[in-house]
Amino acid sequence: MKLQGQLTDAQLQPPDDKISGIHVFFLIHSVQTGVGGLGFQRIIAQKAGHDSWMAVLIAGVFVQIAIFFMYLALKKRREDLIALHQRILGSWLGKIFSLVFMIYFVSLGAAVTRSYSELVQIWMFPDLSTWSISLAMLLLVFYIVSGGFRVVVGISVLSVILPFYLLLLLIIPIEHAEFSNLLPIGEATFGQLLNASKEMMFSYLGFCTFLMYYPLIKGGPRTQKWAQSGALFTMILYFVVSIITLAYFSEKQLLTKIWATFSLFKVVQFPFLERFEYVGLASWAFVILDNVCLLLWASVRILRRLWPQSSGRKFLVATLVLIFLENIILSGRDDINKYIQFVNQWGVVINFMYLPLLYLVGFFREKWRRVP
Amino acid sequence: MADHWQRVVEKESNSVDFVYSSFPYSYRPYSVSYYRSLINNDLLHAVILPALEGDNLRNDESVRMAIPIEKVQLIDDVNEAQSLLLKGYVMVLLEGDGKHDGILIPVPVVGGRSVTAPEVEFTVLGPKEAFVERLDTNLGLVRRRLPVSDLRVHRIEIGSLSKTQIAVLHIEGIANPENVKTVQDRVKKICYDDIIDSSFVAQMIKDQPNSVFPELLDTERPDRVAGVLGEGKVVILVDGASQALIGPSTFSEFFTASDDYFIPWQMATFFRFVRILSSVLSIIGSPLYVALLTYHYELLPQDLVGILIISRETVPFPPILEAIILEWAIELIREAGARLPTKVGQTIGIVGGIVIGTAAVQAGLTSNILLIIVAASALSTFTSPIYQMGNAVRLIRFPMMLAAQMWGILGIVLGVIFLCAHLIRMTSLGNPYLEPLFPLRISDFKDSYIRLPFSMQRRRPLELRTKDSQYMPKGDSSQGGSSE
Repeated sequence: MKLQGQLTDAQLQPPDDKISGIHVFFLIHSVQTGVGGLGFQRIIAQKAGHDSWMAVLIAGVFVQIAIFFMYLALKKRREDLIALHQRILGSWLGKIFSLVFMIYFVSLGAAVTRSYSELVQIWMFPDLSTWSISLAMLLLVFYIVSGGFRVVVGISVLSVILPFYLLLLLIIPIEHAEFSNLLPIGEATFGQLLNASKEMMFSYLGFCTFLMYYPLIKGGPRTQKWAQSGALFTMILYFVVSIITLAYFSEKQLLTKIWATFSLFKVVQFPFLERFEYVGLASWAFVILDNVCLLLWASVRILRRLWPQSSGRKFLVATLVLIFLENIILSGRDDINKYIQFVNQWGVVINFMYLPLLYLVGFFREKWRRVP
Repeated sequence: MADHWQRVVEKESNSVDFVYSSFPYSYRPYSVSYYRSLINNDLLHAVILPALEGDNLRNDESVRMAIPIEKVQLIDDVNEAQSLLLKGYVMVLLEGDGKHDGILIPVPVVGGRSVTAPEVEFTVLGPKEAFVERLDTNLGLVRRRLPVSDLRVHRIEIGSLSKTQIAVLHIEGIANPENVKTVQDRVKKICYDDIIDSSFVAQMIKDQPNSVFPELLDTERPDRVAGVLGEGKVVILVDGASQALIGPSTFSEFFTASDDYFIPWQMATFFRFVRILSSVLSIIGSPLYVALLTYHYELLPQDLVGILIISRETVPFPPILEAIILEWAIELIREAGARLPTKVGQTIGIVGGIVIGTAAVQAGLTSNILLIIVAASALSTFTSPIYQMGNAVRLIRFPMMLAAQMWGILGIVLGVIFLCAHLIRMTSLGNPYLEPLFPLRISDFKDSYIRLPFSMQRRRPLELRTKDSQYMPKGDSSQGGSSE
């Protein structure tokens, strides 16, 4: 008896690669929420005190504007970042700047995995070696990213839906919250608020992966409402969390809480479960893993767009090995912090300085070209 | 008799159940050959032989007309005759100088089981018919529920040894032709000599042959088949199998029972929720025990930890070993229960379950809390109405326990993420398996993880991309009450 009936992949129908507009909501929202969501409260409170919730809103509005400009830049030709670069900067310079984005995505992915594995080591397993947890996560990332864009999007959707119960648990600390902590409103100066907003921005980053997957969305420009509402949802979420944090902790207390969201989970207690932050931390794996997946997918995509013949799979493996090595080498709170700071600064430069500049150049070039 | 016919008869005569007899003194001399085990002997003797003895059989055509049975055919081709002999035909070779060599008369024996109540997918309410092994009976069961000519049945024969008849069913004008074509193409491509059961076909036309999850839903209920045909799906019936295959299927359908449509929608939704939740608990139950007791004692409140510690006081194994031993024991009881004859089965089940369980706890080999968890999760695997899904759940628990041993609850979460990624990657006949969760289609939730009332089920699932998307023509409110 011989078995020949099994089908190879090529014989199977290739799944439709385009995704419908509603998924943009999840892609934007899920890549924004990550490790930043666990500890942003202290950082912005350092700059703007109990008014720091305003910084959340200000930064959120900036993100909305940034998304608006992304659509403005891409929607006319339904192109992606690579095409945009090529059109505005020319072949050579465009390639170089595309590579910058690729490196940025990979290093952001590395930063996310390293800070998460550090969190696990600090809170859950002080004895766990970095390599074992990194290896487990990176293998998962490989499985997801090698499945293609659809799988990455699917993980984004589930990473929003499944850990959503964590948010509902934050209702419990409200019982003990003291909302007068928020008063008086408006004590921080405008400069302080802007400074806090800049710090806040780190927790919103990652959404510029949008520049890579925009052509893969059905409906093109009509999906802007989904992208905007995804970012809006992130903003509301962070806003609620920051209000609860500010009301629950006094300002001085808050300045000692590096991972304030975890400290809030600590309050949650059930008759059958205590120290809920463990569950919170483990569930957070879902929230951060989809970031890494999307970032790495975007970097593979850049490679494949620049050199269509290259093997995305080999590149992915190489990248993952690189991230793995980086995770092992980077040890010690200070080094990790410095690295993350560095990547974040870079992110702000790319998102809010380089990209607007690029759009401007593109805009003027188009204008000049039209007038002969 | 011509030489080539002589050879056929000689070759077949090697089987003891082959009968050959000639009647040289009739008005028109002839010989009859057939397989005794395959034909209806009463019919042969009462109808066919007397007809062949008539004295007005001047030519071949009149012989054919003399036999009062449909589909009698004149033959000249040896190979065709040979294969039809094996399908319950009687071959009559006519002597003389007629145009044709003989005739073939179909008199297959109609046997097999009669239609009984479903055993695997039993429901308290609703119809109590289940498929049997005969393809024609099964087709009849479906046709009776869908008396429309648009119900198309496409026959394919596969298997070089078994010559299994496969029927691919769909409703023209509703089902997406692409799905129908996919099924037909894949079934035709099956190249395996012996197809025993529909589960062979299910495994061979799977999109992901290496996945533990079933991709085509197998059911023994004709009412379920009729229901999904109306939805726009494709159904495969296999001769000799009492399970029909339904595709494309989604993950949520494996937690759908026929019962859900016979009871009010609130209850149906609740029961679906119970099924999915218990399957999830069944997967993470014992891994959670392993994780909590190996790494995270502090997660449990003091009172609960006390009980746990006391129950584990005398247990000499680490939690992972304890859990694996007990899970193994449960699998043992279940396997034994499935193999044992019905009459001893129950007794052994009780002996195995109660005696071994109690004794193990009293001897201090396992904690009784783990016993509760393991027994509850074993029970939970049976809540999936489709047996194959229960099997998948059964297997997943073991790697999950290992993950829990390595990374505690983080390991469980990573395992769940892996499962999610796997389910997202999966397709059934090229359609996404996790739909409507991903790709997210809100309107398809109406009959997947929840079930909304019939009045809200106006449209067929988007997933199937049916040609006719409406269940109910516009303005027809006969099913939704008079309020619309």
